Amino acid sequence: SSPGSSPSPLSTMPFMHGKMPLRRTYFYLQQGKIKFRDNVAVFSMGYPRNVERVLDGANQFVFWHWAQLQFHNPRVQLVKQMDKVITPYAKAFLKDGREVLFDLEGLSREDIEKELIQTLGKTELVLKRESLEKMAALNPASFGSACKRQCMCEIQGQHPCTALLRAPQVMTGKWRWNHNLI
Amino acid sequence: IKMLPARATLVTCIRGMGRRAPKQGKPPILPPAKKVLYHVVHPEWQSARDVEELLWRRLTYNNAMISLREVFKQEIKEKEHAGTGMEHLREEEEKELDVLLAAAEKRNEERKAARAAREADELRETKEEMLKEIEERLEKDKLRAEKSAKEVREAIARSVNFVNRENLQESILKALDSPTVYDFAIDRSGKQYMEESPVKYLEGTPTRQKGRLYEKTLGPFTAADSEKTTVV
Repeated sequence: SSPGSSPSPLSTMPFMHGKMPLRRTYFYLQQGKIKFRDNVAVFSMGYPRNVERVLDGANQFVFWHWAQLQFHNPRVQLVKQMDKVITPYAKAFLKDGREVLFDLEGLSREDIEKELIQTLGKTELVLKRESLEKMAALNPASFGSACKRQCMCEIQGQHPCTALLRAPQVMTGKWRWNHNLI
Repeated sequence: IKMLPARATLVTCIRGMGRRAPKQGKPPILPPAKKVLYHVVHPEWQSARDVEELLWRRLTYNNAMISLREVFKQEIKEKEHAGTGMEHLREEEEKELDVLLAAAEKRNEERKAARAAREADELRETKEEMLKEIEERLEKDKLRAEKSAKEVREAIARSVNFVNRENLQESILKALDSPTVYDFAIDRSGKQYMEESPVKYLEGTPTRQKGRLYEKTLGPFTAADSEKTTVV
């Protein structure tokens, strides 16, 4: 059972009661603070589940923040290893082959969060660089699915969209070339 | 004044659905169509002033675009040389990450040392507790052994007077010779009057029985007895 949960009298749809549905709402997921750097490929965490409240930091962290972590880092593989160790730990595997170990013994949920943000989170420098790259890549003249203008037909001076208005026959391939082959 | 045709646009096409842009014109393997053979294009008449104006506009615009591109390239180059370019930012990021990872490693080492010290203390305390427990257990066992030994010795001492096969006959005769009388009378003051022990051999002639055997004549009733008497 999840830590800190009281027994629910309703046995049907247990994930629709208490803390569980709140932790999966869009608003809650957006509140996540940990955004890993691009260098992080895999993040694994090993922790024991049935421990006293005082040593429950890692368990609480996973309970409250795991979904938020995946939401904000969709390209990072998250791995949980439960009840395989006595002292909780976290290990991040970077794309350049380095491994970063975190000793989480005795830390609370907030401390763990703070440490992860401090070590592997996006700093101001990273955010600045990313915003500059985004600006450099931005071309207001582009059109397509990822741009403001979706189709060539939205641009002034172009033909209207053939989805809405059929193009004149002279512009079709079968009219211009190879009447018999197409 | 006419606008530029669509084909002359400088826009790059980003095709989200993955379809290739078609090549311009006819496939090269095909010969030109009969319709276009010997077909001379006669453009529409435009006044010289319009043509000049359009040409000037086009050239100015193209020059402006080229110049702007050059200016931006220069800017980027200068920034790269000055150390504020994108590459330098990336290098600084890497250095920052190295520093942060080193700090994390240091924290790990500190925690490891603290944990080792804590575990050593706990081990020592546990050992002490275990030794104490063993000592207590041994003490208890020793006391129990002493008590048991004492009991056994007492039993052995008592067994000297036990009746066994050898002295059975003797014991029976002895018992018969010295019977224990349990019979007694008691008055309200709590004074017990024990029955006399029976005589083995009657000497002489017994006297005439005057009263019932179980009746007893009680002793004198004094003031002390009256104080002790319980009224039922």
